[in-house]
Amino acid sequence: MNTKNYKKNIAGQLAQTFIEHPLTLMLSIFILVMGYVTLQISPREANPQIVVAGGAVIVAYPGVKASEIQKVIVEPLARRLREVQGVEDIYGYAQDNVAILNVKFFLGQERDEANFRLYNSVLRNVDVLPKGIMQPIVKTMDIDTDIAIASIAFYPKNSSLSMTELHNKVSKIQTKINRIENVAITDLIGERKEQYNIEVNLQKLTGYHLSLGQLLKSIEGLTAKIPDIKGRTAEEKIVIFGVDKAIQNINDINKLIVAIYGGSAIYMEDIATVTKSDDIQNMKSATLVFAENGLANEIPQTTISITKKQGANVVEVNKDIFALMDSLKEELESENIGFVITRDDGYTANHSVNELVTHIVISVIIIGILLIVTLGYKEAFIVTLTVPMIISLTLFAGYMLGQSINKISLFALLLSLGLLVDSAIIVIENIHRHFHDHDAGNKTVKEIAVAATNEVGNPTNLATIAIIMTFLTMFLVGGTVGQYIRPIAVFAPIAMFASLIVAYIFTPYLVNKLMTKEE
Amino acid sequence: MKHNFIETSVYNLLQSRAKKIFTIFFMLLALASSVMLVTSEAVKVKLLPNQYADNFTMYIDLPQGKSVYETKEVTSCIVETLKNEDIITNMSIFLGESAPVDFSGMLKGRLFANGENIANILVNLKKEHEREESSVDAVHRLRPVIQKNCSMHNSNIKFVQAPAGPPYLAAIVLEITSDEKLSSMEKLGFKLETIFKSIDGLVDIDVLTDSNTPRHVVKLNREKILKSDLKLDQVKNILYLSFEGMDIAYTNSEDVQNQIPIHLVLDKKTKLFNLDSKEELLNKFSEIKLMNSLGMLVPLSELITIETKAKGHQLSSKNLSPLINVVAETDMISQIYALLDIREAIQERLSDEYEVQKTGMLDFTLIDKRTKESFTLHWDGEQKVSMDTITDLSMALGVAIVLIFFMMVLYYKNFSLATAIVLASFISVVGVIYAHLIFDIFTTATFYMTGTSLIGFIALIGINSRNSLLIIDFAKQLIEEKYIDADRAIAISVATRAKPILLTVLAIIFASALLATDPVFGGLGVALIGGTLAAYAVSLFIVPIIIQIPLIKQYPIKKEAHEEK
Repeated sequence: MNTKNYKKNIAGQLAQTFIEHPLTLMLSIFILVMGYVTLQISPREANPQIVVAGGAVIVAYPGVKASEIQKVIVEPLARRLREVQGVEDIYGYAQDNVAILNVKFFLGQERDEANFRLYNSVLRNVDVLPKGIMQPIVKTMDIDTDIAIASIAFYPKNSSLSMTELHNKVSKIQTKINRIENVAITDLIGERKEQYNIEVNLQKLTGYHLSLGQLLKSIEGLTAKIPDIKGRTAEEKIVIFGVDKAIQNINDINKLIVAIYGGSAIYMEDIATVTKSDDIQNMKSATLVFAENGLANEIPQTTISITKKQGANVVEVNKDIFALMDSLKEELESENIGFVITRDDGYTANHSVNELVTHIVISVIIIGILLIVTLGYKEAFIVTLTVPMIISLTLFAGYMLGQSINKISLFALLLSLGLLVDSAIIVIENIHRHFHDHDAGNKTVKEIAVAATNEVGNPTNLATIAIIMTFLTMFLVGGTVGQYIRPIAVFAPIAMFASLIVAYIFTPYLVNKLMTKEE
Repeated sequence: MKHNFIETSVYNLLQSRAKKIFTIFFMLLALASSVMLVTSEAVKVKLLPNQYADNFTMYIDLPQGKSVYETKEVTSCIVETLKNEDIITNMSIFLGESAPVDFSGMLKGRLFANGENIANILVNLKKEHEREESSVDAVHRLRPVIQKNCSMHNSNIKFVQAPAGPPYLAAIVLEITSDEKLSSMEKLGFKLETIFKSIDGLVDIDVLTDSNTPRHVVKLNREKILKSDLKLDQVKNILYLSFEGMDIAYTNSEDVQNQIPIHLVLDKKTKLFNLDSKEELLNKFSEIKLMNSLGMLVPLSELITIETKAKGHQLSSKNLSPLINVVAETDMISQIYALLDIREAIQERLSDEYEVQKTGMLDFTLIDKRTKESFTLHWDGEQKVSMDTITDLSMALGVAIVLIFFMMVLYYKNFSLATAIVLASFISVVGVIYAHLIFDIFTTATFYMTGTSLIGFIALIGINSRNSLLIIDFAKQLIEEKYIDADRAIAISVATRAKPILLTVLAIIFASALLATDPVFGGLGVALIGGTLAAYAVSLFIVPIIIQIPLIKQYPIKKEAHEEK
């Protein structure tokens, strides 16, 4: 092989430039640090985000039958909403008293804009709706603030703590959780609210010759509120006085005079059972079973569900939430409140990310062993060393492109791993082979390394571009699946490109530093 | 130069016409047989396999009008059935409202679901490494038990697992749209439900339409009410207050976060109906009295009449066409085959009553032979997306091949070499399919060829073309620089590049071995393992044959020049 005068391709030139450049080492360390930092600060997710735009328009029309609702609300509104740009399908549901229209946008519609168009169209078309409807409600589907990233179930540890007391305590915790950065919405499920219940006995009511309407009026009058009243003294000083709240405890209701019957007062307690308990009209409830308590023991509970803001790192947010819960543990313990974490997307995301990172490390080690066996330990060392650099470059590029670290992006890395080392293997194998050439004696390690890199440069370039192109075609896949596998289309080509650069710059450099011809 | 074994055998192969024909024949046989494996369903295709998770959710739906107590019976039964499952760490049971909504729940319309007749159970399992049974297997085992034991009150229990990819309304959704009577659509819906139920592996089948429950209509006698010196809204309010209750006032307190409402309602005993009948209603209403401005008490029953009707039926529509959905999930089977089975069954079993016409790729139009009513059946859900994605991926594959072809033409300025490279790349499909077959034999569950396998195959096209490239490039270099004749150059090139190619193949196999254990990306891993192995064989034996003619054609003069030398 003529090594003195030959035209070098890109590979050869890169090898030539960096093989003894003092900055090469610095550059490699910088890349590694950058990759590590990216791995730490990138948002982690279990699955890549899929943007779905859509929403529900809910129109209540009390007292109207489904078939009428279909005609006067669903059909006219659906007709009008078809005008909204980007709408794919409109599903209408007419029930007694209420109409629900589910509007689905085509994939890839920008969510905020789609939501705005939907709101706009509903507001503009209120005039097609009949009189007497309630204000239409537009509930847009929001992948961030609708989907719980964590949920915690609180339960009373013994019967001395009532569900309403639990609710009061839990709502305080709810406020605390809401203070955490990047927490979007917290919601209570299965909560029982405190309430005075006046359960009227119809027989007694009739007995006293009373009607429900009278009861209603007597209580309404009592609870009517007026603001504090300012009076003046002769010296123009202010005197403040206010009317006391009439109902402060259960007795105030029990002793309420409802009517005078036959000269004697009739109290509320005479005709009704008054209790301060929970919202009896609420048919929703939540219960919990958990292994430590025996799976057959169903106990009442209240769940807090928590969502995060868009772009926030679920792992970080959940860490903060559970750290808060840890700090509250003792306090809750003393108040007889127990809790169970029933959902932790942060764990799922972190766990899958860490598991895949481990897989990547194992794969690198296996490939390293393979290379030790086949090429020798120095070559193996060099190839193995290129992998973290490629991954670092890729992660950093992904971060710059706004990609989170998720299962699919790591799979893309794992998938490319076999390919990543290829360029390095081919370069180093060629260098290795040329060391054993019969004319190797006349050349320096540097010359051989550059020439050998140059020799396989063109086919390796072309092949890598071919692989990059095959991965890029994955951008053609549409639909939600297309969005789902998008990280592969983004990360694999970047990784391949990075592998080329690393193979041409660092492999010859390391060869020059570490290897001698005798080996 | 010493000729090593590979070089000699490749050289001999290139020299012998019989050997070449045999090799090509063998390749075609392998290719044909692998395609047969897919068409004969020996290797099954599925878009996305099931994902393992640490939880699953049950959606429980009772017919409209069922009470929370009936719903509770179902959930209690489920809890009772599961009480000895030591893989479960905890379960949250939500009656009447939705569990904390996940992505699946959102797309399955669980966000707005409420009412006494629904419940959700969120089941958390032990962490994956602490149990032996996968979540998919656990659901597979528990589903029939729970559905058998706890489907009282016509309840429908669905099991929802985190999907590997994006979630959908259901695995299989059959949309019936028609402008005909709702009852005819329902009749067809229930017929289709029977068909769905007869197909093995289809579970959680449901016709999304609500049932008819009786509803009593209270009609206010306006004349009587006005004559009794009462107001219409007074009557309505009292009626609502008596049975549903009302928050009639609020009190505030410093130590409570919210206002405390004062709720007025008839007590449980007095508002209890003994029967669900018109007479019982009237009887109860006679006890409720209203007071007019003169202080006279008028029984409610005097002011009204009662009629009993069917409750208004929920009407669904899609883009203004009335709609009924029949949905089903697949359990351990691929939606693709289930869909084909359903289509076959529809054609077979409904053709007595309906005229079945095929429209579009998979859809049907059914016309009732007796009434001439017409119905459109359209497929949606995960299965439709599967089909679309497979089409898209195939398109991506096609584009990849075309792009590579043009790139090679650009580089070598030679059509036949470019064709050779693309052909050689494509043959690795043999390895992909056989690897799936082998994995299927060695794993207990069906090992599907999935969308990720297809992604792997697309990647393989690129990988294989690199192998060919390395060989061709070196062979050309040898011919051009060392004036070796084409056959020998190819043989030397193959022998020289065999080692780095083998190394890269091994690197890919080892890296993919870890992928192969993943439920979702297993297909990709297996495709890469099988494909690269096949690619190695192709590089050694097929590539030399198919590049031989183009190379000889390209360098006839040089060869002579070499001989002259």
